Amino acid sequence: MQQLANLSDSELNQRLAHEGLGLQVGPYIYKIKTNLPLVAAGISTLYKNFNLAEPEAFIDYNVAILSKGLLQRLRGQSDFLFDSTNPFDSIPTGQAYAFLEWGMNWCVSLHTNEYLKLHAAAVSRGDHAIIMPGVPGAGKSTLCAALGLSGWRILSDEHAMIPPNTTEVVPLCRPVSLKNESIDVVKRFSSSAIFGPVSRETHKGVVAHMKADLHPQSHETKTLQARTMVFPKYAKDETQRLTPRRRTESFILAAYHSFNYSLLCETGFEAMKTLIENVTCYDLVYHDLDWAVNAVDSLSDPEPNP
Amino acid sequence: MSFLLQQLLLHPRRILDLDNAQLNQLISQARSSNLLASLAMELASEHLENQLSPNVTRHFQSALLVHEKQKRDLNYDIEKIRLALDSIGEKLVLLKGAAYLLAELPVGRGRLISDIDIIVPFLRIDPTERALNEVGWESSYVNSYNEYYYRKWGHEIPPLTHLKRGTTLDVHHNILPPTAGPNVDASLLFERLIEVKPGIFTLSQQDMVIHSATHLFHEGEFRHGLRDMWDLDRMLRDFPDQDPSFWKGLVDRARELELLGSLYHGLHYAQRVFGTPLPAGIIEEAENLSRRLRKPFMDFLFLRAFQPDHPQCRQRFTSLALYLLYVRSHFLRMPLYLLLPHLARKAWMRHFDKKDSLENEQNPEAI
Amino acid sequence: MKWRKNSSGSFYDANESSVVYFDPHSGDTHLLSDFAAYVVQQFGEQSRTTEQLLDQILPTVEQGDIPHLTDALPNVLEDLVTLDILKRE
Repeated sequence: MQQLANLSDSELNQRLAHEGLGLQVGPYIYKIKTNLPLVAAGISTLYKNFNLAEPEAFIDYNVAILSKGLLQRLRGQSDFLFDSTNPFDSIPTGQAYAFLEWGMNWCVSLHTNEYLKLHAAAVSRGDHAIIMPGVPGAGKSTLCAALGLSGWRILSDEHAMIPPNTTEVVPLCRPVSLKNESIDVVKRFSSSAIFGPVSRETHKGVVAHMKADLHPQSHETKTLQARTMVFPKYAKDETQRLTPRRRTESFILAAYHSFNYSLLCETGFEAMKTLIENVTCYDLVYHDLDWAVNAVDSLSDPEPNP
Repeated sequence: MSFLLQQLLLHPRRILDLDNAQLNQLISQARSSNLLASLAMELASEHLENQLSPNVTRHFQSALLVHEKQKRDLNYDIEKIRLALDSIGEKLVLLKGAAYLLAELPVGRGRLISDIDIIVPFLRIDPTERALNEVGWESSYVNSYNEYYYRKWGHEIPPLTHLKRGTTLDVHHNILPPTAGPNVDASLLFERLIEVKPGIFTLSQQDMVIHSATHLFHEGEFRHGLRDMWDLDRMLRDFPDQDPSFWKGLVDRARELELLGSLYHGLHYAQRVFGTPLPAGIIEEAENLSRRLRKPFMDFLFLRAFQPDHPQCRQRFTSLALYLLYVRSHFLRMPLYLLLPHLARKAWMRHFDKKDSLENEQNPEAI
Repeated sequence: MKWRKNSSGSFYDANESSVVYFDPHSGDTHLLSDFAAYVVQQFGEQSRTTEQLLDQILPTVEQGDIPHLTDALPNVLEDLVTLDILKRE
């Protein structure tokens, strides 16, 4: 399959500006359009090793981020478009890249229900996947980025997708979204982290995305077995700890942070029950990333082929 | 009128002939017109969903799950609302989507809803609101310009939201605001209710059709134009089958409600957009001289507005037509001197509403 | 006073002090105390009085817990009504 890196800059810009760039992202195909050089540059950096969709493939989500007409350009504004309609207000063009990423999340959050979708990061080593649900600000993305930079495969920064009645995780690797101070925390953690455009003054503060497909198997589609669920919490003044937590409470918390648990009714309950019965659940309270990565390392089985 | 979505709703089997690009176009159009679950139901009725690739089918299944969940939540919420109204001796009368779903009418097949609409007599608004407040329905517009606007000029009170459930409830006392021009005597509607479940009522079939047409032509929601036309088409095909005397007296009823113009437009455009079969002469019966003169201009506006909200369907001037319609529907609802400040404020407020919806996106689920 | 279950839901019981209960009637999922979950499980299709429930529950518990559970039951039933899992008849 052809990768985005195989396209020349002019081919890439041509596709983004005209027919759209078809990208295979986990089980979905996005078609992306933009006329903003900043967004094109971000895509070129962060999606460099993603597979291009086959030319005749069925597109799941049409997304675009466009500055239309002279007036919008003069005002420095852009629109995110989904199915060519505009679900949000216009945004300052300087934040366009962050909005593209959010918009791409939004497609999956709102419009897919074939999986139980947890609001969680997921990483794997070998066949062993760890699901990390977390409220915004709990430090799941920071930890996910650090694990990705330490040899773990990032399955998703945002959606852990579980086919009902399995304990499998469907990989949906996309750039990791980092906010405010966590951007520098990750930069200090590893100088090899690759970042896309920085969006300032968004409703979430400063946002930057990190290239996430760092593992040789990042774009494989085979599902992985979830065996552990970790609830990370970044807390400056608390003792760092990795402690087992109750399954029933984990069930409720994961359900609360699910995009469609409630929508799936009985199917959601049974899916969550199957998952929780088969994973071990932990609380991870941390403020030092190296310590947290070691703690998660200790949860993975010894690898026969490291 | 032959856009992909319209064709496929009427002839679902044609989906088997579409290539991937057309399938993408179809699903985009259906999703942005809020008709994906309706289309999914039409496909399911001919067992077509399993003949498509799983990558395509999953989008239809996803929309059907949303529809199923809405139906379940609706049944639960309606029962609570019924009990609250029962406590003050008031009947529960459902309007629009909630009525279609609860009455299990063909027009409710795959119909997505965004809120629950009910109607009570004007003089019963205050006790109704208090009874609903007591069981958790609260107004989110307290002391705002919107509240002032609703209370002073509206045909409904500000939307109520349930504290725990997050559902939105619109309590109407009429189907058109008092400023709209036609002076609908809402008490006439209450004379012909149908009890669809114990203690749960809808308008009569004729009144449902007239209301649907009215809603379409008087509210500012042309984004859902095609969905609303599909509602009309489904009702106009189904109701005469259920009740052979449906057509008889429809025009007289609309005249009695002073909504003849809306009915005329509803019938006319349902026929233009979905080829809805109508009895001979009914259009002519409904049409009056002044409206016939306005028709070319109206066709220009409406046939464009009823395209799916999607650029492949936007003919030249659609944006203009949509804008004119938006102004027109406000014009129909409010005397002109009220119109301009309201539009200006609405645009300003929408800015914040939309921002809110993005903020909430992080946590769309409530347990 | 009689009580009745609103619908027949599903439990996830992992032998912890709390139990997950999915109520198909409201679509809500609750984290119940193990005792509250046990009380819900005592309901079949029929309604029960508080006394009938006590007669059903007390023989299954330790002698020392009886006064405590007898005191707790009315409150648990009220809470289950608030959550719309049970209704009064």
